[in-house]
Parts: sequence; C-alpha cells; structure tokens
Amino acid sequence: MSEYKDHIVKSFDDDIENIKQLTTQMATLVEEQFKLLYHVIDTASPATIEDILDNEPRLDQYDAEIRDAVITIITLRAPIAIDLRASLTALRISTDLERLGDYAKSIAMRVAALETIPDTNIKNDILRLLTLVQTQMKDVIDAYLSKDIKKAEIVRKNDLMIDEKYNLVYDVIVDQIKDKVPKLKLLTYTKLLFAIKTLERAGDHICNIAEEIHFIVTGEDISTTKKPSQSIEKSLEGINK
Amino acid sequence: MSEKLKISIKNLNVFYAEKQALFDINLNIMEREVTSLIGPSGCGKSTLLKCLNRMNDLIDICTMDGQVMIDGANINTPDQDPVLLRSKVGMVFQKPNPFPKSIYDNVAYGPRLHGMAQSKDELDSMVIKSLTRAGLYDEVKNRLFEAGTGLSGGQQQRLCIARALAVNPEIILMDEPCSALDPIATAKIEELIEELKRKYTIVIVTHSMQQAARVSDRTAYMHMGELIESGFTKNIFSNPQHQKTQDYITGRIG
Ligand SMILES: Nc1ncnc2c1ncn2[C@@H]1O[C@H](COP(=O)(O)OP(=O)(O)OP(=O)(O)O)[C@@H](O)[C@H]1O
Ligand SMILES: [Mg+2]
Repeated sequence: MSEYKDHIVKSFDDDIENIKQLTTQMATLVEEQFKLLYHVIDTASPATIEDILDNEPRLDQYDAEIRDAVITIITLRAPIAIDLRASLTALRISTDLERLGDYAKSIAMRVAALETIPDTNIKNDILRLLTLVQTQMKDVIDAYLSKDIKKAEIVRKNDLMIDEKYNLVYDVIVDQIKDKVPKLKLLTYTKLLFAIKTLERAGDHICNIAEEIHFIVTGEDISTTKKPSQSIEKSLEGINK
Repeated sequence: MSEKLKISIKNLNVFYAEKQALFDINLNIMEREVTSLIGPSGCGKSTLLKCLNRMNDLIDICTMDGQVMIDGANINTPDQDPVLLRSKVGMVFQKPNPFPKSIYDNVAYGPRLHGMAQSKDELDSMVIKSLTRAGLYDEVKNRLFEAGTGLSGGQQQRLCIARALAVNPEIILMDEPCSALDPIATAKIEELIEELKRKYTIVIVTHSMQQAARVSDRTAYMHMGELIESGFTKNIFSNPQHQKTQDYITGRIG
C-alpha cells in the first residue's frame, strides 16, 4: 500500500510526525558524528574529538525522547497496522542509531590514541571505508524520510560494498603486521583492525535500519539472522599465523 | 479452532426496495470461532447479520438473492421454518431488550415457545444453566422473579444472552452488544464471548476496533455494501491488504 492519507484526528498525525522528526534529527546527528570522525581520522584534530564527545549526550537525549513519544502514542492512541509498525520500529531504529553514534565515538577515541596513522595508504583506505558508511547513512535517512522501500533495498544491497572494502583493508593491515611491522607498532595496527571492524559493524546497523523501513511500509519482516562476526575470528586467525 | 465451515454466504445481494444494501457478498464463517464484522456506519453489517437468521423476512421491502448456507443447507428455501432457524441462530442486539417480564420468564420464554421442557423442574434447570453460561446467575439468583428491566445495562445484556442461549442455539449473532455498556460490563461480555465460543459459532458486529481485535478469530471488513477483505484478525489488524481497510482501522480519511 503506497498511499499515506491523513488521520481523521489531526493530532494523531502530529504525534506520528513528531516521532519521524525526532528519528530524522537523531539520524542526522549520527551523520554529523561520522563527518567529524572523518576529520579526526584525517587530521587527528583533538578539537574535533571534543565535538564528537559533546554531541554524545544529545544522542542519548533523542533516544529518550523517541521512547517517550512512542510510549505516549501507544498509550493514548492505540495505533494499529502501519501506525503501530511505525511507532514500534522507531524504538529499534533509535537503538541502531544510538549504537552507530557509539561506534563513531569509539573509533575516534581509538584513532586519537594513535596520534597518527603510520601508513598513508592504510589511512586513505580507512577513509574510503568510512566514506562508504557515510553514503549508506545518507541514503538510509533518505529512504526513511520518503518511506521508499526501493531505496531501502539499495542500501541493503550496498552493504556488500562495505564488507568487501573491509575485507580488503583487513588484508592490507594483516599483511603489514605479518611482514614489516616492528613489535612496538603492533598495538597500533591491532587498533586499526578494530576500527575497521567497527566500521563494518556500522554498515550492519545501517542495514538494519533499511530492513526496518521495509517492515514499516510492508509489514514484512526481512531481517535475516545477521552473519555472525566471522570477521572477528578471521582477525584472530590472521594474526596468529 | 475447528476449521469446520459453519456458515457459507455465496453471491449475496440484498435490497431495501430499490436501494441495494449488499453487493455480491461471499464469506465463510467457521464453526466455534468468533467472526467480527467491521466497517463504517451504513456499510451493511447489520443487514448481513440479519440475513443469517432471516430477520430481514420481517421487513417487507427487503429482498435478496444469492445463498446463505448453514451446515450446508440453504436457509432460504421454502421448506425451512424461520422460527426453527431463529432458535438455532440466536441474536443479541445493541440495546439490551429484555421483555417486560421477570428474569426467569425472560429466559424461559424460548424453551416454552418451542416446548422444550417436559416439566417445571426441567425448565428451572434450563433457566439456571443459561443464566450460568451467560455469567449472570450468581448476581440474580435471589431475585429471579423480579423484572428483567430492573437490572443494570450490563446485566440486561447478559440476560439477553442467557435468553438466546436457552433455546440451545448453534450460532449467536451479536449486533454491537457492548456499545451501551461501561468498560467493566464490556469486559464481562468479552470474557463471556471467549467462553461461549467453545460451544457456539459467534458473529459479532462491533464499532470498536480494539474489541474486534480482542475477541475475534477472523475479521471481515465491509465498505458501502461490499466485503472488502476478510481473514485472520491478526493479519487484518497488523497488515491489511486493502487500502480501504487500512484507512478505516487506522482512522484515516477514506
Ligand atoms: N429497514 C430498512 N429500510 C431501508 N433501508 C435500510 C433499512 N435498514 C438498513 N437500510 C439501509 O441499508 C444500508 C445498510 O444498513 P445497515 O443497518 O446494515 O448498516 P450498518 O453497517 O449496520 O450500520 P451501523 O454501523 O450504523 O449500524 C444503509 O444504507 C441503510 O440506510
Ligand atoms: Mg448496524
């Protein structure tokens, strides 16, 4: 069903719209966090890390506001069908967004601790991986705003690009570790491995949001059991060799 | 759920004089399930309900074509006795309508009419059993011979249900049975419906989406005399397939 008519009770529309607004604002803030993260990775600017940390409480606040708004709408309006799906899904989306925000922060902190990334090629690779995540983030917000399941599907498909890029950068880093990294730098490279792994996980959460958009519109649950962290095992296996 | 077909409505058209009220309705109602009919005012819910026990016979200008089969038999053939049919298919109305008689006589009315009891004792036990099934006996056992109209609205409605049960129906039709009741009386009727469906097939018309969702196994949505969509209640309410159904149940401008 593609049409979204207004409710007879106008304030019901306002309540639904409010949830949508809050979710969009929260998503936009997460987008901003990734943009700041890009700058951190690129320049290691301490001020930018501060900005990321400053934004963190606002994400928590959005999360709380969304939960409040959803509880209110369920209590007072007893939404059903698409309205119920839109309300409940907002809770799951905000959990994904909260996690994405967390990831941006933890990567920034890890990278900051390194001061500089020792290898420009690796740095550029990581930035490219991050750019893919950012594009996905932008597209998923777009799909959410327009309730467009085609766009959501593209986001789901494009997650593969993140996975591939992740595997690629992963191999590059592991090769470095095996070949020419001095013992002292080992920790640095391990941190980079965790950073790219976190970016790969960020892609999964964006993918979740795309699935949730599909659920809102169609009522069909397409969330597949997420591929378990095969790549964590891969990380260990690569290093042990 | 037994999955056994109890009522089958086929290509049913109903007219009040020139005006067509139902258009080519096809609907299956399963035995020992609760089926709710929902839809905007004037869409034909009561008309459809009344086709199931030939109450429309009582309206001169009302004509119909198509079939209503109960247990595989067409209820509108000349050899079918409407009075007998109505004892098999009981009806409860929106406004409780006890007869201006005692509680006892209200319930005994049907069994007496159909000569179902051979003795006073047997009639007594029928009355008590029906009142008990309707969840009313304990509240009225000490005043069975007082007027039924002296009961509260919720009690009157349960009295009407007891009256319907007294003739051992197989099907119970309810037309907005709770619309005049407070939430507690409503909850009691809903609990009763839950109880009754073990033995009876129930068709209920309701304007409360929440009530339809709570009490019924299947739901049929009607719009301007047409049956738009029917299916398991859970599916209709979580993911309706038709835009009109979605607009109606979610309170959108249709
Ligand atoms: N006795 C009658 N004579 C003429 N027209 C009638 C009669 N009963 C119902 N109608 C018409 O048939 C249509 C369906 O009416 P019906 O009572 O079945 O609707 P409904 O869905 O039960 O509505 P409500 O929810 O308001 O009870 C309406 O247009 C109504 O005006
Ligand atoms: Mg009616």
